[in-house]
Formats: sequence, structure tokens, C-alpha cells
Amino acid sequence: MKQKIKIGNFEAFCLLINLFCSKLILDFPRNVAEEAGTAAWIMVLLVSAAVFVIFIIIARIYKNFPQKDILDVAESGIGEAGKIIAGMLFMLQFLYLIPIVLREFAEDIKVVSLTTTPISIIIALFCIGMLTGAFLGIETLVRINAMAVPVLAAAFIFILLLSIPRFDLSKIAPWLGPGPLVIIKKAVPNISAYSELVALLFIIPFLNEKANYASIGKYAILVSGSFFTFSTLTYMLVYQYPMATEFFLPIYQLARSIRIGRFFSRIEAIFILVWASSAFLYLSSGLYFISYLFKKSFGLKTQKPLLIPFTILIFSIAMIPENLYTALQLELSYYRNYAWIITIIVPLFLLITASVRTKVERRNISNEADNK
Amino acid sequence: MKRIINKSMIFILMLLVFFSMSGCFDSIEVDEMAYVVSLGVDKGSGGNLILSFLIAVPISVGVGGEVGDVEKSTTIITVETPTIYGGVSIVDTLISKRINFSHAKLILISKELAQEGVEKYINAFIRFREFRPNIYIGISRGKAEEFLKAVKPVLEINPAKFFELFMVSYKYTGYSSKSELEHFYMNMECTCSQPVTALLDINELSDSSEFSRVLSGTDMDGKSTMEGNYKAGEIPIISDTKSSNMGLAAFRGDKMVGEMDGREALSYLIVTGQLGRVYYSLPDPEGSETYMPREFQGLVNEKYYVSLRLGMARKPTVKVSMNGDKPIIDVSVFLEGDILSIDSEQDYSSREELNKLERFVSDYIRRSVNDFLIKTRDEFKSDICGTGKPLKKTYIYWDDWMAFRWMDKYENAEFNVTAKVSIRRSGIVEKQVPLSHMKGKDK
Repeated sequence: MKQKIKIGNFEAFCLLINLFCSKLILDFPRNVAEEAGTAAWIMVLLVSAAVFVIFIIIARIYKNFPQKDILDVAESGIGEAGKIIAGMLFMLQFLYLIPIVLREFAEDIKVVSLTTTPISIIIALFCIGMLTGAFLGIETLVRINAMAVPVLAAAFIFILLLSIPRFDLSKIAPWLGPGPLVIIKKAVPNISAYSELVALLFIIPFLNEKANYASIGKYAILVSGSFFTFSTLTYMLVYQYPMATEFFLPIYQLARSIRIGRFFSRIEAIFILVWASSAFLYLSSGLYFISYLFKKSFGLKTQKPLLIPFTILIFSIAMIPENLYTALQLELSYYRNYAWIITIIVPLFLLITASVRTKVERRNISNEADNK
Repeated sequence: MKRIINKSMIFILMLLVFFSMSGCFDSIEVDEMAYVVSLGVDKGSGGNLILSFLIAVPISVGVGGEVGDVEKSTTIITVETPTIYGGVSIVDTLISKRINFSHAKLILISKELAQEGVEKYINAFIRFREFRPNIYIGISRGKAEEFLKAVKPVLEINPAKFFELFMVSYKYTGYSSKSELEHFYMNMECTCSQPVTALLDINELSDSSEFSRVLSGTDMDGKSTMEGNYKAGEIPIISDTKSSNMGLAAFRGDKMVGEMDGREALSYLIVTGQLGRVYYSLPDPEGSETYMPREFQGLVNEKYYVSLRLGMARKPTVKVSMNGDKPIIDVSVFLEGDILSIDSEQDYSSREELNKLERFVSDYIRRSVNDFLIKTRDEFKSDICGTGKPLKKTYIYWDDWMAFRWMDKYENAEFNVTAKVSIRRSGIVEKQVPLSHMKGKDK
């Protein structure tokens, strides 16, 4: 008998939080500082508010399709081909993002911890963890997320709180940095920071209480938005612009500088634990969604046989960038600029198309009934 | 059966991850590394650097409960090299261990090098993960190599702890300031403040007869040399520990532009709000006829002083307004003090007398802070106190702030300093009955 997957609200919420916030550990505060200068935190707040509004719109339209995930919606709107195309688009988006993030995590570990280990070994180790997580399935992943995310969030907040003594308000002045127009212009591509929101649209059929998907999404955006904003604000209040654009791992740098008394220092050890845990959960979830999307798009019965080939593919893609700068460029110059189109515009398009088609079909049916 | 195989596979995979993540490639034993306690950087020949590595000798520091040997707790290696990390490689060829900076406490740059600019060296330290952001940085008035050779911790067997405590002594002396690498870098890159570092040197006096020679060369506060009117290396002191940390090196950008003595460093701490609780002596207002500083004219027969334990009562407030191209900088400081000693027979226990003392101390500190700020403007042309920060907060757009060019404006600044000192306590004695009141003037 096939076991039915069940995901609780809190578990789904934690999954989304980890998918969104893992980029905080990487380079998010530095990137936004580079784009909006001293007003980086305002831009992050603006992006979060925009994503919140967009999600409310998506959730409103989605009400017409209870029990369906976004691929089913695509099928309702455009048919089987639509499902395959949408599935491939989402899958390719993850297949682009996951190897880059894997490479970045591995490079970061190499820089700060395993300095002499070959990068291929570090990536391979991450792949083993990623494969194990994905192999255990989405239920296991979300449950581990539900256990780990509160602890990781507490450790993260601890690092931010310990930075308070070094806050200097003058560091985020001049308040509007490059000006409101530039902030708004730069905010648009940064919507991609929430590109993993699309994962919620894949797991709707697995939710215990399907009607709660909107609340899960809203709370996840609110909490992640707060994390994004406060982390960026903390970073900018400690390291002024343009110095804030220099550090490779902003939050790691924050953690490195914390020192309370002679004994309480080197707390970046906590950070590395948070970092590695978050990375494993993020990558495992990513691999799971890649194989799930492939399975669902082509109507396969099982996805586990896909995991090893996709892991090998991810490993190989992760090894393509020649160096860390190339990996960063692949994320910032391409993914960040265009991912929001796939994760926000495509679902909106699919939902609108499906809604229109459903309405037309309903009208046709009622017309036919009237004619009869 | 399939379930068992799957579970076993997962278990093996996890074990593999656990074992390999513990760092088999990077494994290095603690005793395979040579821990540098302090790195000295001097100017070498032909654009080279002379690097001095003060390395801890753990076996001499002490193992377990065994007490080590202070004299042998460190060893110094000096090398000439074009780059810092090139020097590390050369030293690695010499010793049987690998140089490691994870526990380094002090980077010492010679004044000669600092005057030419330190940006490239600071960038090299900031980029390398082994250097902690809060490693101390100091400027050696003489050669950094000589300083490190002369350092002989007497009361502390652990050299790392010695440097750590040595560099934070400003919290209770007030004669230096926070001199951490990241703090320095932040001020160096800041658009509204400039960096300072601790000023270090060796005291080479061997006999107290040399004190008068040293004193004749110091900046005197009027006719009295107060206890902080010295710079490192010029202190009339004889001790087994030759290293001294007194005064500050002021920078404009990455170049050292001047020196401050201990008292000026104290003014710096007051304006930046970093002052801890320090001993502070000043002339007794009632005995001022026996004392003759600049504005306090009188006789110089006998010197009477009042000693206080001084600290911040409130954070200082700095306000900046622009009058055309001229910044008007209003600095307001509020300190509190406890009386530690009074040389004269004056009784300050009554409200009126205490007020008189408070006014005198306030005025004394106001003048010293004002003199210090004028020195930063006229001599250093460098806003080391970060007085541009309040002005930065009034700007909306980054481009406007950059076009304003605060650092150029600072040279025309006008200062209005107000100081208030509240005497809170008088030690465990409320009032002192002078001996002369009981036994007459001749005692």
C-alpha cells in the first residue's frame, strides 16, 4: 500500500524559511549593500513587501485550484504540454541554482575551514549529504527542517544580538543611499531572493491542511523578510558602506568580530554549524524538488532512481565554474536578474490561464446545459 | 530486506560524511604549528620588508601544572622579504613547524613605514583568515624588531596574554585607545573619521639619574609635567619590562601624520566616549598659587595636586553645523570622578568647596580637550574623533555626501567644547583634618 505524504503547517513553514534564508549565510547582505549602498536594508524591506503583495495575489487566484500543485494547474490551463514545459522550467531553474549554491557553500567551507581539501572532495561530501536527505524523502526533510530551523534561527539571532554593541547609526547614513529610483530599480531583480517560494506551490497537495498554504506562505515571507532586513541592517550598522561590499561572507565576518571579554570569542564556530546544517537541508530539498519535478512532469511512478543521476549532474555542473568569482557571477548576473520571471511571473501566468480556461469551460458547460 | 539495505546504505553514507567532514585533508596537530604571538613589520632595503616573528615556545610557557620559564617563553625570528606571506614561507623553511597566526595578538608596524602608508599591509592582514579582526595593531616609534626583542613580560608567563592585557591597559590608564585591526581598517575606509593606533616603544633608562634628561624633553603642561605628558619610550621609568604603551599615532587615510602623548590620548578617549575609569591628576585649585600652567598663573614654590578616579558619566555628544564652508563642532562631555587624594590642606567636603573643585576640573578638562581638538585640526588635519558622523546623518543621498568632502572641510573646523565634571565620592574618607591644624605649620 502506498504511503501518503503528509506535511504539517509548521514543517512547511520551516522548509520555506530555510530555503529563503540560507542565502543570508552566503552573500546576500553583501550583494544588497553593493546594489543599494547605505539604503540596502530599505531595499530588502521593499523587496519583502513586494513579494508579500505578489504572494497574496497568487494565493487569491490559487483558491480556485484547491488540492492541485502548480504543475496540475499548468495542465488545467495549457494541457499536458503546459505541464511538461512548466515542470521543465521550474526544474531547470533549480538545476541551475542548486549546483551554484553547492559550489558557493563548498568554496566558503574551503576558505574558512577545510583550506587544503580539494574542492571536488568538499562538493562530493555535500553531495553525499544532499543525496541522503533527498533519498529519505520530503517528509523526513520537512521534519528535520522543523527540528533544525528553530535552533538555527536562535543561533543566528544570537550572532546578530551580540553585534549590537558595535552598532553605529551613522554607518547607514546617508539614509537613501543612491536614491529612491535606483533602490526601486535594483529591488526588482532582488525579488529572486524569494525564488524558492515556488516550492510551496509544489507541496500544496501534501499539506495536512491544504487551505492553510496561503498563511504558510505569508508567514514564511514575513519571517524571512524580517531575517533579511535585520541581518542586512545589522551588517550595515557594523560595517559601513562601501566597506560592507568587501567581505566575502558577511555574517561569518560579523561572527568573527564578536568578542565579549577574554573568554567569549571565536563564536564563528557556532556559525559554521548553522551554515553546514542549513546547507545540507537546502541542498537536499533542492535535489528532492528537481527529481520530483522531473517525475511529475513526465508522469513517472517513482523518483528515487532519479536521485543518483541528478546528484551526479549537480556535482558535474558545480565543478564547471572555474573559480569562486565565476560561481558568484553566475548567481548574481544571471540567476538573480531573471529567476523572478520563472518563479513569480510564470506561476501567475499559469494561474491566470488556468482560471480563464476553467471559467470558459464552466461557461461552456452551463451554456450547453441551458441549450439542452 | 530492501528496507534493511536502504537503511544500511544511509548509515554508511552518513558515517562517511561524519568522518570526512572532520577534516582528514586539513588535519594538522597543534604541536606541528608555530604560533606567532606578535608580528613586527619594519622597512627593509630596496622596498623590502623586515618581518619579525615573535613565536610562542609552548614548552617554556608551561605544560599542565608545571611553571614555565619566562625568559624562554618566546623566540624571535627576523627575515627580510618583499611580501608578508613570502616571509612566512621563508621562516617555514627554517623551523620544523608551520607558522600560524590564529593566536597572534599584536601587529607592530614601525613609524617609518607607517608614515609612507599602511594600506597594502592592512589589506593583506584583513584578507587572511588567520589574522583575527580583533588582533591589536600598534605603531612602534623605533624599529618594531627592537621592540619585540626588548619585550620581557615579567609578571605574565604567557606571552599572548601579556600582549592582550598590555594593549587594553588604556581602559584603566587612559593613555592609549582601542587599537584593533578591524577597527583601524573601518576608520581607514570611513568617509567621516580617521584611524589611530597605540604608540609603542622601548624605555631604555637604566638609572634614575637619567630622569631629568627625559623630563627636559617632554611636553610640559605649563611648568608641571603631568603623569600623562609622555609618549612611549620617553617615560621616566626603570623596569625589567622595557615595552611601553603610551600615546597614540594619528593617521590621515593610511599614512601616519603625528603622535599624541598620554594626556592627549585621554582627551581622545573622552571625545570618543571610550574612557574607562582612570586615575587623573591635576593641580589643586586652592594650591594654584603654587602652580603655573598656561592659564593658571601663580607661584612655583610647592606643587599641590588633586587626584581623581575619572570616568564617563554620559556618552559625549558631538553636534556639527556648517557656517558656510566652516564646520562648527560642539563637543559636550560629562564626566564623573571620585577623589583619590588632595595634597593641599583644603577641605573640599563642603558643597561650596566641592563646587569650586568641580568647576576647576571641568575647566581644566575643557581646555585640554579643546587643545587636543585644535591639534587634530591644525597639526594632523585629520578627524580622528569621527566628528563628521553627526553631519553624515543629515545627508539623504550618498553622492551628495561624497561631493561634500568632509575630510577637506575639517581643516577649517571651529570647536566649542563644554565639559562638566561631577565629583561623586571621596574614597573612604569624607574629610581630612590637616596635621597643621593640630600641630601648627611647622608640624
